[in-house]
Amino acid sequence: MSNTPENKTLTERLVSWVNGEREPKDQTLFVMEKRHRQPRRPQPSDEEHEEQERHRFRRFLRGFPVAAVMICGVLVAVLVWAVMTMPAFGEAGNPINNEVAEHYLEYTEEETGATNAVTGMILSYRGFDTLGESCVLFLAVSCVMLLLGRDAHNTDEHDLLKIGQEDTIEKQAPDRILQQVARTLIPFIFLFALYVLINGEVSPGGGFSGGTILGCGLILYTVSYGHAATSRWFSAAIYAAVRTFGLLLYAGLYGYYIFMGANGLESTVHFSMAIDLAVGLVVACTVYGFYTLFQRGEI
Amino acid sequence: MRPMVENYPFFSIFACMVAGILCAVIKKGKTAWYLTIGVCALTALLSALTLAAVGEGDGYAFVYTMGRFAAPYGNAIRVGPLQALLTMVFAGVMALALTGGSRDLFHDVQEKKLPLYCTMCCMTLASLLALTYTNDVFTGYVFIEISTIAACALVMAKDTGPNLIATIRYLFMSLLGSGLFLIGLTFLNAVTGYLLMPSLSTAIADLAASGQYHVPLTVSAGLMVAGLGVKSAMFPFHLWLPGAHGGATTTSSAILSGLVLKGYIVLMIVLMVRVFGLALMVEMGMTTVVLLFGLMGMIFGSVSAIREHHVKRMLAYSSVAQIGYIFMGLGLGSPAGIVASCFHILVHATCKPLLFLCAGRLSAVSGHHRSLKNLRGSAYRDIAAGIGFTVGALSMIGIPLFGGFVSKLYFASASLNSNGMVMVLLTIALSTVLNALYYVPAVLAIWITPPPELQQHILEISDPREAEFDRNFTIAAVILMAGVFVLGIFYHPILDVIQMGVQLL
Repeated sequence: MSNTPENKTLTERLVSWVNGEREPKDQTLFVMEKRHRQPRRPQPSDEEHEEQERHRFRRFLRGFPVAAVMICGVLVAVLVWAVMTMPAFGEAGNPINNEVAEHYLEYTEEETGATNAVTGMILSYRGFDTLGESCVLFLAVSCVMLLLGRDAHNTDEHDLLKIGQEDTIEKQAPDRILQQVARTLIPFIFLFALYVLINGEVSPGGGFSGGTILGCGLILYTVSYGHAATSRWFSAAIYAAVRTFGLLLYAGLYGYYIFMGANGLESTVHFSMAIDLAVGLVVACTVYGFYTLFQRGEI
Repeated sequence: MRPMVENYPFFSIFACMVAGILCAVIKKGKTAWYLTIGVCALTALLSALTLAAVGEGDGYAFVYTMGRFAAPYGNAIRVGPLQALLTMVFAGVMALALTGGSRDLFHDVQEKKLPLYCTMCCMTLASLLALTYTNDVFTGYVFIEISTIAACALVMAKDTGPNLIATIRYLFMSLLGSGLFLIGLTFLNAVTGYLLMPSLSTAIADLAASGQYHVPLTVSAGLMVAGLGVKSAMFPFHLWLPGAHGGATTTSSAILSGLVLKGYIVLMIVLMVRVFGLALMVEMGMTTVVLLFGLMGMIFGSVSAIREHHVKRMLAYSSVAQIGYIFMGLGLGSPAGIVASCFHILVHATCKPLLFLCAGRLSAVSGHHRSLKNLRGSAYRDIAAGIGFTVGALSMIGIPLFGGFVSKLYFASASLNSNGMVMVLLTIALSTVLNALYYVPAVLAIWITPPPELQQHILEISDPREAEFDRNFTIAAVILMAGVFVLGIFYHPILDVIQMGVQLL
C-alpha cells in the first residue's frame, strides 16, 4: 500500500484496494508506462525479476557466512553428541548384528543363488530399492539432457561454429600417443568390465561397478578418437535404445519376480546375471552420457 | 495366490515407472503427453478399485512383499484405505494438471524436450505412490531421491534465467532435506538394526521403554522430521518455494504445490504413527516443535502472500500457509489431528492445482502478465478460469460448502482438549482473516473491468490464439471444481475412510 498517496481519503483508499491497486510498486506497470504501446515480449517482468533476484542474492551473501557457520556448528554439536551415545563401531553386541544380518550371511547363497552376499542383498532381498536407484541414475541423465541438450534456446551459430572448429582440429592433428595407448588399453578395459559384470554373483563387483568401468572405457575411446568416431557406432538413437532397454529389462524382470514372489508362485527362472547386465548398461550409459552432454550438449 | 486386487498398488507403481522409461524414447511430445495422462488415469482407476476392496465394511490393510522374502528381510509395501484414497486423488490430480496446463506446457517446454518432461511427471507419480505405500524407511529414502530430481526438472523445464536460479535454490534445499533424512535414517538403523517399519516400531518401543539410546533416537527423529520438513516447505525452511512454484510452467506449479509436497508429508505421517508412535513423538517434544512451526507458517505464509503482487508467487506463499495447517494438525499429536491433516491434504491437493491452472489461464489471456493489476477483468476473457479461481479462493479462505471449510472445522475440533487449544484456535481465526485479505482482492481484481485504455492495451499485447476457448483447461477446471465441492459437501464418507485408514495405518 506504500504507493497510495497520503492525501487520499479512507474511502478512496478502500476503493483502490478493492480495485486491486494495493501492490507495493508495480514494476511491470512502471515499465509499461514508459514504453507506451510498443510491441513487447510476452514476459516483460523477467528482467526486473532477475535484477531483483540478483540484488537479493547480494544481500544474502553478506549475512551468509556468519549464519552458515552458526547453523553448521549447532548441527555438528548435535550430531557429535548423538554419535557419542551411540553403540560403538564394530562391537559384537550392537543392535545391527541381529537376525537380519545373520540371515543375509547364512542363507544368501541358498535362497538367491549368489555367493556374494552383497549382490544377493542388492538384487534379491532389497531389489526394489536397487530398481529405484537405477531409476535415479536414469532420471539424472534425463535431467541433464533436459537442461544441456542442444536446442534453439541454449545454442547459437557461434557455439556450433566453435564445436565444428574443435572437431576439425582434432581430426587434423590427432594425438598419436593417446591413440596408441588407448588402442592397447581399451580392449582390456571392456574385457574387465564384462568380467566384473558377469562375475558379480560370485565375486566383489556387479552391475554398478562393472557399468562404471564400461562407461569409463567409452569415455577414453571418445577422448582419444574424437566424438565422430564414437557416434559412428554409438549414435544418439543407439544410446537411447541401450539406456532404455537396460532399465526396461531390469524393470520387466524384477516386476515378474515381485509378482511371482508376492503371490507365492514358484518362479523357476534365475536371472541375477541378466539383472546385473541390465544395471551395468544403465550405469555405463549414465557415466558416458554425463561426459558427453557436459562436453558437447549432445550424445 | 493373493486376490488380484492386492496386486494393484504394485502394478500402479510399476506402470508409472515403465511409462516414465518409455517416454524417454518417444519422439513426439504429444504422444508422450497422452501416455503420461493415460498412466495417471490408469493409476487412479487401480487405486479406486483397491480403495473399494480395502475400504469395505470395517476396512483392512495388507502388506505386500516386494519379492519372495517377508519382512524384515525383503522390501514390502503396506496398503490400507488411507493410502488407496490418497494415491487415487494424487494420480487423478496429476492427470488433470497435465490436461489443464497443456497449452502453457506446449508453449513453455520445447517440443523436443517434452518427452523428457513427461518422464519426470511419470517418475514423480511413481515416487508419490511409493512414498505413500512404503513399509520400509529406506525405500522411502530412495523414492525421496527420485522425487527430488524429478521435481527439480519440472521447475527447470521452462528454461529461463529466474527459473534456473529458483531450481538451483530448490535443489540445494532439497538435497539438504534428503541429507538430513538420510543421517536420521542411519542413526535409527544403528540403534535398532532394522529398516522395515514393523520391526523398527517394535525395536523403538523396546528402546523407549528401557530408556537405552535415548539421545540418538531423539536426534534421529528430529533429523527425519527436519529433513522432510525442509522438503515439504515447513515454515522456516520455505524460502525456496515461491521462486520454484511461482516461476515454473503452470502444470509444474500445480503438480509441485498440490502433490509433491504431500508425498513427503504422507511419509512423515507414516513415520510418526507407524514407526515412532504418536505417544513417543509427543514425549520427545517433536509434536510441539511441528505444532509451533505449523502455526508460524500459517501466519507468516499469509503475511508474505499479502505483500506479493505476482499472482503465482502469491499462490505459492499461500501454499506455505496451507502446509502450515497440515503441520499444525500433525503437531496436535492426536489421531483426530492426523485425520484433519489428511483431509486437508486432499483439500489442498484439489484447490491449489485448480488455482494454479486458473491463474495460468488468466495470465495467458492477459498477455502472460502475472501482476494482479494487469489481470483485472481477465475473468471475462475466460469465464471458466474466473469461476475456477473464485471457487479455489473461497475454498482456501474457508467458506462453507467448499472443501477448505470442512478441514478448518475439523482442525478446530481436533484442537479442543489439546494443550495449545487457545493458541491454535486463535491462529486459525487470524489465519482465516489473513487468507481473506489476499484472496478477496485477487478475486475482486479479476472480476472488475479495468479502465478502457488498460483493457485496450492488454488486448493488443495478448496473443489472439490464447483467447480461443481452451477445451483441455475447461475440462480439468470443471472436474477440479467438482472435487472441491464434493470435499465440501459430501465429506462424511471421505472422513470415515480417512478415520478408518489412520487407525489401520
